[in-house]
Amino acid sequence: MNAVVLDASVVLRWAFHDEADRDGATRMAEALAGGHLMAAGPPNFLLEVAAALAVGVRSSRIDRPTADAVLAALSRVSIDEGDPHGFAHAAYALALEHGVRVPDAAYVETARRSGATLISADRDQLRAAVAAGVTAISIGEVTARTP
Amino acid sequence: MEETTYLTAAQAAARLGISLRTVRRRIADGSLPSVKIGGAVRVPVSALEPPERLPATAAREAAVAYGSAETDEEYIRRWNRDHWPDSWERMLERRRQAFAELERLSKLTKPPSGPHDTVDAMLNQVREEFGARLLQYLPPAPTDDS
Repeated sequence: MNAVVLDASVVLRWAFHDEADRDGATRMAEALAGGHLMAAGPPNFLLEVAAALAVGVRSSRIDRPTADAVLAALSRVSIDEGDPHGFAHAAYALALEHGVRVPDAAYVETARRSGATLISADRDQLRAAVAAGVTAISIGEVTARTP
Repeated sequence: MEETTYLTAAQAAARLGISLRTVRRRIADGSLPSVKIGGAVRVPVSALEPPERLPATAAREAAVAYGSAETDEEYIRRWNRDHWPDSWERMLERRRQAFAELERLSKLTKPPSGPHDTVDAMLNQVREEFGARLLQYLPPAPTDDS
């Protein structure tokens, strides 16, 4: 099955133009739009995206109307946010076991449960994913292999 | 619906080798997928099977080189149908429109002024604040003389 868990660091690259490895993130978007990939995220996914956009508005990287429109557009991408129940304990345990933050571990747990591949820009998160037996790829690697 | 597709809680307990009570608790907390059919709770047989796992190398190839990967379209259609009450075609069209909109919007953003306000830095700040806020609600750590 071609299922991926996209870390918020990948999704946010869709909304910001001048970012490293944006080509890889764009390739993921094309795969989703073409129906080649399924995507899932943990329950904290959209909240993290919203919080990062708020940081971007405060630092003037993005203006408020644009950030509002980004959130509205993301709601139409149909990334499954999974089941909020019975999830926290597993993410917490992964965080303690592999030395990452709980929000990072939540993505790893989503990938572990669904047998999906985790795509992320966060090296610590990728390392934890591999240690937890999850297939994981950096967005840099996706970019490097983008024709 | 085929009779063999869904199980009662008792059948699921027998299949998993766990108690009926545990099955009901897992259904309640969502860790065991279930559906309601005519008011009765049923467990899909597929929920009892281990998730399909590809060898690491194959999964990497499938995710990265999706264009050449063989896609199980029926599986994806079913997955999407179960998750979103919409047709496959409408969902893809909605995605295409959303990504076109995101591409347009991204050109309205400013480039990062430094490493402190890249996407990764912004997200890192959010995650650090999340942890710091939780710590505010914890009682102080006991001291040696307490």
